[in-house]
This record gives sequence, structure tokens and C-alpha cells, in this order.
Amino acid sequence: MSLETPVFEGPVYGVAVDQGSGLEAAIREARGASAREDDLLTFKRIVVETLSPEATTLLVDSTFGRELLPSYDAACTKMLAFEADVYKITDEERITALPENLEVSDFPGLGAKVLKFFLYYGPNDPAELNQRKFDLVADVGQRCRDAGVSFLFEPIVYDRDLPDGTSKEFAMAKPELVRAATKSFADPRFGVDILKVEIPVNFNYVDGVGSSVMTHAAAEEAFLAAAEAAGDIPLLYLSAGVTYEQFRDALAFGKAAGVKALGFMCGRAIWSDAIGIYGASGPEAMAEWMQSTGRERLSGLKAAIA
Amino acid sequence: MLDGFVSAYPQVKRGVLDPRVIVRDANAKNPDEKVTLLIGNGSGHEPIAMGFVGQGLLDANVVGDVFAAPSADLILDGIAEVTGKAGSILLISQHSGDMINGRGATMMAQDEGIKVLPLPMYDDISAAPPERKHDRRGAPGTMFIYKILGAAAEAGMALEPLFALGEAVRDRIVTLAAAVSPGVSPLTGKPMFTLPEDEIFLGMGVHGEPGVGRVKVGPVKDLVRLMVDKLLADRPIAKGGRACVIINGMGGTTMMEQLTIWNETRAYLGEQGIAGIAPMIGSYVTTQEMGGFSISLMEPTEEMLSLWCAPSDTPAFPNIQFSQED
Repeated sequence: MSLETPVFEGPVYGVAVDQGSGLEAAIREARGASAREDDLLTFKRIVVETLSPEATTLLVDSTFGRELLPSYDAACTKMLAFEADVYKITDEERITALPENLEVSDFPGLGAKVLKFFLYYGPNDPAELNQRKFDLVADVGQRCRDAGVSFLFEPIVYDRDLPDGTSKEFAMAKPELVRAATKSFADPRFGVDILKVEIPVNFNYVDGVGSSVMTHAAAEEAFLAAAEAAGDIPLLYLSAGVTYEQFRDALAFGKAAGVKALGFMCGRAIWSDAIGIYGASGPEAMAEWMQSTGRERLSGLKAAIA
Repeated sequence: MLDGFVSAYPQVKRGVLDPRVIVRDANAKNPDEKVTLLIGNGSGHEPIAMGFVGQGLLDANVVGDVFAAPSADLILDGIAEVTGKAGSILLISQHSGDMINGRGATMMAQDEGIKVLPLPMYDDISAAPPERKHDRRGAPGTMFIYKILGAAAEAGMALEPLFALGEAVRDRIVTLAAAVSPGVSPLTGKPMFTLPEDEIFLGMGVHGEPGVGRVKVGPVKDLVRLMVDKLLADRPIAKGGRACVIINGMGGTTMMEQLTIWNETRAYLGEQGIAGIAPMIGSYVTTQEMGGFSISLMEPTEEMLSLWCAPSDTPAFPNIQFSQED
């Protein structure tokens, strides 16, 4: 695994705020009667303005990207998602909806050096479906190369036979699912510059942290095996909805196990608590919280992986 | 929106395989004998393309979410819905998402033994220089391809020559847009770009994509001359030649303004020794209330001109008028 990329020199302490309709609904619910049409944009702008001075890179979505990219701190690398709505996966095959209002070739003009593309991937899905997903990822990768943009790909694993992603059964299967996905998309034919991957272990089932389904040693082995599957492609870990403390501890666990990750991309683990503050007390209170607690959390994650 | 659309116009109905596919209803021909034409695109730009489904034009339109490319699966449903033994052409207005999903749908259809050819369409000269014209975005000039291929297919042209005709038309189309005020994005609730009151964006894409530059507001005559100069520099038309013209309003530009723009375009082409003919004038590719317009030119062959002016019956495509006196 490499710790250098064409776009980043040194470790990557990334923040993600590319969520779409799911985040919008959560903010609307938190705001209640005070909800405004521009709440989602305001929320994202606060994240960008408070955290981009401290982050190596910050990820925004295609819908609000043009609006938000000019607000970045000058030293923060601009990363833009190439999805119509990251959570809007409506079909059985779980293929990401592509935007029509954003070209890959637009990225350089927008100052976005990294394109992030996300796809649900089930290693145990039918080969025909996965071939289509491979073709899709390869197509996006080729467009990135043509446009001179770095390609960050994020596979999120699932298994149709284990629909409950929080279950013990899925926790036991997850290390192999993440390893297999990492291995598949590290293949040079996809043109992936950076892989953004899940923590391969659900710590709710690791001995000493949660229930004793997986031993400490097995969890370490899961981290190492999944990381080694990346070959020369650098890895960023994503927080995938866990709490700040869980994500911080998971990063530290991986480092202690011997994983040399490029860094992390953290979204909800940093700012999910800000949704309630925004809802109850408005944008200024959220900005204050982000300036203090949000930045502290980002620092805590940096320390965990440094 | 789709419920309102299909209930208002007898020319169209929803597809059987998926209700997000709008198909031709009245006078639909046997797809074993007629090559069918379809396109998939995000919504938010009506009346294109659902408004062009009907006799002498498209056989189906696959409708995506607002500013989002329809999925490959959905496009495949559209292809399967209308394609018979005569085959079909999937028109793809060149945007990254549409191209990726369109190509994916075509491959799946071909794997299933369906005879379909994808035809990428591009005409926006602001998106890439002439030597890289295949990198350009699809813009309102693609309506020349819709109509000419639609009329040719209706007349019975077979798949391969129809596809070749589409490529030939594409080679003859250039478009440039000018935006004067933003529309409010239905996704964000915010204006799609900001612009000083005394400036115009040249080359603005239909979603507010960056243009080639800004110019100061001046008389419309000067703006039209600047745009036509750029179009003719990109694809010259010799003196004594003809150019079919599309003046497309972006949503917030009145017909009165568009007719003035047409008149200035026609006059300036005339000064260059080129006859501006058979115009299509109106707001056909819109983006909310965006203020602005585009000019598209196509130097036609006799065959293309005849097909461009052939009758059609769709919810929104106009009858194109041309007389030799033009």
C-alpha cells in the first residue's frame, strides 16, 4: 500500500459532507417548524467554513458543489462527488445514480482535484451484475484519467443473504467482504488512485469492546488482510455512520495492528451531533459548536492515526 | 409531472415495462418494420425530450429524476419497450452520466439480442475546441438530430443508413448559448450561478455549467453578431450557403425577445452571404426561469432540409416552415 498519491503529499485528514436527501430529512426533522428550504446548504456551508482550514481535503456533493467549493480554505484540497444523490439507491441492484448537471471534464475548471465515486458492491452478487458494476467504475476511472482528475473510489459492501448490516452474522462476514471489495477495485484496470474503504470490523462484536464474537487477534488480522488487499493503492478509512469515539478508536486499533493507511474521510462521526444543535439553536450555534467540538474531533482523529 | 403529461396529450402514454418510459401512442408503427428512436435524460428541461415523442420524431423518452441521468436499467426498459426487428437508435445527449448509463444500457440490450445502436450527440462549441468536438456537451442543436432522424425513420429508412445520417447531421451542427440571469435550481432552491447585472455568460450549459467567458451587456444585435461569428469560425459556411437555425429560449426569455434574436441572426447571416432558413424558435430546452438563449446552426443537405421540415405530430415540436423564397 502506498502512502503517496499524485494529489496528496503526506497523510490525509479528510472531512465529508456529501450526504443528500438523508441528511436533508434529518435536518428538517431537527428544525421542525423552523425548517427552511436552504437548511441543507447552510449546514454544509458551516461544515466547509469551520473544518476546511483544518482538513487536508473536504468532500462535497454534486448538487451543492458549485456553491460550496469557493468557500474552501485555500490549503484544503477540493474533492467533489460524482453522484446524483449518494443515498438515493432505489433499485434492487444498488447502482449509484449519476448526475446530469456535472461533467467529469468540469472538475478541473471547478478546482476539484479529486473525484469521489461511491457504489454498493456485493462480492457475492451474481457475476453478471458485478461485471456491470466493474464496467461502470472503469468508465468513471477512464474519464478521470482523460480529465486529469484523481479518482477516489468508495465501495460499500453488502450481502443479500445478510440484509441486517448491524447483525452478528454480518459482522462475522464483513472482514472478508471488505477484503474482497478492496482486492477487486485495487486492480489497475479501474484506474483508482485512492480507495475509500470501510473499517472491516464491527467493534460491537469484538472481545473487550463489545460482545465476544470476534477475538482481538482476529480483528487485527481482519484489518491487516483487508489493507494488504489494496496492494499499492492508498487507503482512506471512512466513518460510515459510527460515533466519533468508535471511529477514533477503530483508527487507533488499525494503526496498532500495523496498518499503514493514508488517512481517513470522516463525516457523520464529526458532525452528526451538530444536526441537533442546528435544529434546536440555529446556524450560529452550530458554527460555534463546529469551531470548538467539531475541530476537537478532527484533531482527535488525526492523533489516532498519526 | 408525468401524470399530467400523459393525460394532456393523446400522442403519448406510459410504458408497460416501466412507467417512467414515455412511449408513442397514436399512430405508432410496427417496430419490426420501422427503426425506433429513443433518448434517456434527466428531467427539468421540458418540453425536451418527452414533448418530442410522437409521429415523425421519437418513439420513447426515458425520464430520469431532476438533473440526474436515468439508470442503465431504466434505459434498457425503454429500449426493450420499443425495439423490434428493425432495430433502434439510442440518442444520447453527451453528458458524462448519460453517456455512462446509455452505453451500459446498450451493452445489456445487445447481450439480450436487441438490435440497438447508441448515437452520442454533441454540439456546444464552448465545451471543447473543434479538434476535440467529440468532447463537447449536448446542447439545443441536438434537436436537429431528433427531428431529421425521426422523419427519416418514419419514412422507412433502415438502421445503418439512419445511423450514418445521424453522424452526418451531428457533423454539421454548432451551438452557442448566452445566459443573462440564473434560474433557481429545483434541487438547491438557490440560483444556479451569479452574474453582475451588466454581464452575460457566453457558453453557459443547460445546467449552469461554466461558460467560455463573460461579456458586457450591450445591444442584442452586437451579442448575436459575436455569437454567430464564433459559430461560423468553428464551422464555416461558404458564401451562398444556407443555415437552418434554432433559437432556443432557456425558460425566462420571451418569444418577443427570441423573435428579435432570430431576426438579428438572419440579418447577420445574410451579411455573410448565408441564408438563415427554416427556423425553430421557442423555449424547448429550458432550465427553470433562466434568462438567456442559444443559437444553433446546421448547414443542411437537401435531404436534411426536407426531413427537418417534414410534418410531425408530437406534444411540443413545432412545424418547421421553409419556402424557396427564404
